[in-house]
Order: sequence, then C-alpha cells, then structure tokens
Amino acid sequence: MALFNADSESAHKEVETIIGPSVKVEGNFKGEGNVTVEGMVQGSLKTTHDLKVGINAKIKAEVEAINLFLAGEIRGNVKIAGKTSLSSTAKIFGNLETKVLNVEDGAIINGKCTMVHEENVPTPEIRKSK
Amino acid sequence: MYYYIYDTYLNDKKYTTTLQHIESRLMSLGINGRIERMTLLKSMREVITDAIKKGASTIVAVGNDETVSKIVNYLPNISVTLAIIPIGADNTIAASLGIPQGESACEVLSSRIIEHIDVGKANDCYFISSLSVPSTEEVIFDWGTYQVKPLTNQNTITICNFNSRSVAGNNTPSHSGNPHDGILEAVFSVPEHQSWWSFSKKNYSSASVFPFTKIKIKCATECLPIVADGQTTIKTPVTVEVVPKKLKVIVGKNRMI
Repeated sequence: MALFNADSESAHKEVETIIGPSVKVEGNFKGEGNVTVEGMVQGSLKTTHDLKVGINAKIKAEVEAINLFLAGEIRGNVKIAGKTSLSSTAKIFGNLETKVLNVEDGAIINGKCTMVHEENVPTPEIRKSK
Repeated sequence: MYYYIYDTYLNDKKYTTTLQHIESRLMSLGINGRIERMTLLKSMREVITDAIKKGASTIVAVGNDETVSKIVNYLPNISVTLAIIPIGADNTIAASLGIPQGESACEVLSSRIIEHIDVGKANDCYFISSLSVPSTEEVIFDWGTYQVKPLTNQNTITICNFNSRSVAGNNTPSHSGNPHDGILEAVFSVPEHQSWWSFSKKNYSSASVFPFTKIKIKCATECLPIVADGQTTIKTPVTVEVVPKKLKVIVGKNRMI
C-alpha cells in the first residue's frame, strides 16, 4: 500500500527515537518526538514528547519530558510536565518534579519529589493577606 | 524526451530478447526515446551531461540497483525525472517503488505517477536508499550537541532514507524509513540469534533509531569506508544530510514506501 501521501511536517514530529541497548548517548540529547531508552545516556535528555525508559536502561542525566514511564534507572533531576509512571523496578536518584505521579510497589525515589499545579501555587497577594 | 541508459551487464546476449520486447512495448506506448548503452569506458557523468544537452526530460535507468545508484548521484542538481526499468536480480529499489520487472515496467513508465522524494547526501555523493557504516566501536555519530557510540562490533549500522532491502522483504533490519518525511534515520541493529528451530533467522528487535537532518560520522582511529546504496564508497569523516524532495521519480501504484 502506498504511504507516499504523509505530510512531511507531521511525519517529522511522529518519528520516535529509540536508544537501544547496543549504543551509548553522550551529551545534550534533545528529541522532537517520543523517546524510548533501553540503553545508556549521559549528559542531559530532553524531549517535547513522551519518554519511556526500559528496565535495563541506565540514564545519568538531567531529564525533561511531557510524560514519563520509568522501569529503569535515572541518576539526575527529573522534570515532567505531565504524568510520571514508575513501575516496580524504577529507580530515581535525584529530584522529581511532576504534575501527576503513579507509583508501583518497589519503585525507589531517592530525592525530593515536588508536585506542582499552577492553580495551587499561592500568588503574592494571597501571601500578603495571610 | 525519454533517455534510456542501459547498464553494462545488459550487453550480455541473454538479455537481448528482453530488451527487444521492452523496446517494442515502449514504441507501442509512444514513449520510446534515445538509448545509451553503457560500456566500461563510458562515464555516467558524461552520459548524463550529454543527455541533458540533448533535451532529456526523463532519464530511465535500465538495469538494477547499481544502475539506479550510479545515475542518482548526478540527478539531484538537474531538473529531470528518474524512471527505472528493472531487469534481473538486485532490484530492491525498483520493487519498493512499485515498479515490476522487465516489460511490465513500461506500463508504469507510461502512467507517469511522479513523486518528489528525499535523497541523502554523504559529502558530495547523493544516495536514494541507504548508507552502510562498518560495525566498529570506534565509529562516532556526532549530532553536534551529543554523540552516539556503538557498544559492540555486532551492530548493523545503516543510515536510511528508505530501506529498500527491508521493504523488499530481505533479512535485514526491519526499519523501512519514509522518503517523504524530510529526515534520515540512523539505525543500529544487533542481530539476536534465536533458537535452532527458527532456521538461524535474525531478529533485529533491539534496534536503536535516531532521526536527523544532518550528522557527522567519524572514526577516532582510521578512515572507515561508508557505502552508499551498496555501490559508492566514501571515507570518513562524512557529513550526512537529507535533501528534502529533491528527486523526481516515476513510481508504480503498488509502491511500498
């Protein structure tokens, strides 16, 4: 079947980056689509989409993504704009900032966990009135 | 004007009948044109330059993947359309573009469904399908802000515009790519040998895929040979980039990419 009619701009955004177990990424990685990590990353890892970290993955990096599904290990601060799902094998050695958090039994977070909703952040005026 | 370039191997007598059938079919469809038979002494660059001077608007590669690869290297900078009449083995590019073998390709040519597809550029060499990079732990893929290094020599490393061999069903990494998305993909695949009853088939499920528009491939210790479309060899360091929608190509209805 022909797949030639894909719009180039939307097709670009849909391309997924997969960091498999046979490669190592070093430096400031910035993805424009969903990112799946099954291997090693050192430096920083940012994506404007979702991040999935497999059970054998080892990330030593500052991480930023929209949503995170974590089964492996992250050593570094993690900033998630949406939902963080930690499976039973997940390990975070660093601070976690997320909007929604889902944690299975056995997951490890060694660091500060902050859940910020913009609506709940007190404005300066409220602080004064108190 | 259609300009037909016959590859060298078609000078063999066993192809005479096939070529005669093709020529008469082209004649009956009214798309016959000038024929140029390649020999070992003729340069493809000169043949194509000559074709343009003579007013060729469509250059038809009559041969196999090697023929297409040799022609593609000279086409992106000129405004002509590429067509293929595949003859014989090693015709994965034509197959993925939906062009059948031999005489049947004439119908596709006559239909003139033209697509603008991306091509890859490795230094000064253009490629339509893919680049093969030798598997070594010394090779570095440099994105500028980050680098990717293979952790094993067992990787099959391919830069894909579209992977014609995968599309054609060969036992190669399954990532097929899309020549319309304005990006290339670096694919690192480690074959996982399965149990004996699977007839030693390889599974490339643990592949790494990195989309890009421009990268540099280098090797710390030596000059590595990188092969474009299975034909042209380029030595590292190589800058690889995508040239979006640069090539006009006639495709069939049954194209698979």
